[in-house]
Amino acid sequence: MDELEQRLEALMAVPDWMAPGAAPRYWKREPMACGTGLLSALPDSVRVPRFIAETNTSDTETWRWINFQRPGLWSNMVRRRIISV
Amino acid sequence: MQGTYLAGAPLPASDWLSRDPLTHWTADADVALKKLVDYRDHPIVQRIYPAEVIDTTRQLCKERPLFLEGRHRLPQTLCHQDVFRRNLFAQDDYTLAIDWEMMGIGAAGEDMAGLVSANLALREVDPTQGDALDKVVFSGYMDGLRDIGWQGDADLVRFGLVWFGWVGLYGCLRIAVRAMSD
Repeated sequence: MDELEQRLEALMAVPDWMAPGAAPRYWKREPMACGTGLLSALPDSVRVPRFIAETNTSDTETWRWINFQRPGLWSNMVRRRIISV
Repeated sequence: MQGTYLAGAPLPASDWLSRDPLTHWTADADVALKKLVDYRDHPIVQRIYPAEVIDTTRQLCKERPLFLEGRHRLPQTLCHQDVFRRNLFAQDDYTLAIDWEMMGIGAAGEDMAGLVSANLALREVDPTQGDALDKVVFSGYMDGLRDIGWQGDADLVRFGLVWFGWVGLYGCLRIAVRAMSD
């Protein structure tokens, strides 16, 4: 059984990241990708973060809980800020 | 996953999937290339980007529209669009893949191009190991596609990997020029 690490992320949208589709980055695309079953075709040898819950605090900010199946993991993407671990 | 779509499963039609992110990156890089040309006599620029590299890059840029058009003729699949070492975490029996916010429809080989070019450009892999990395990535990808049952043309995948590899490296130009400007 893998040890789980749970994190709370606060995402703040920036203008270039707010539109779906055409924009290279879309701030809500990742939870959609991981939450809609679109990645269920991945082989067993590849896993993705598990999104537990999400709360929209405003039009440009959302908080979400994520489980990583690897302790100590964190991405250095600048748009993210860890509020609590 | 990519093999499943290449083998005939219908591509997802969700409107939130990304389309053609590389066009955006290369537009940014065009600005950086112009700056590079303006400062081509600067000693730092000459050391990192010798004149022949700049000239070859400009030539490839001129031919870019032809290749960008051609990408849509390559077999299409679902891509992560930001695959490189910092987004992949190898565990004992699986790999954790994060940062899916660029995910969308792309060409066969496109993700693998990123795996090679971004790892080299961002020094996640020693540049002297570039050829070896390219061979391992391409052969592993093809093995995976064959395992799924895709019997398509490996040359098309190879074309996708090489072309998008160059586009990826070109896209990283904006980072390099910004660093030199600083």
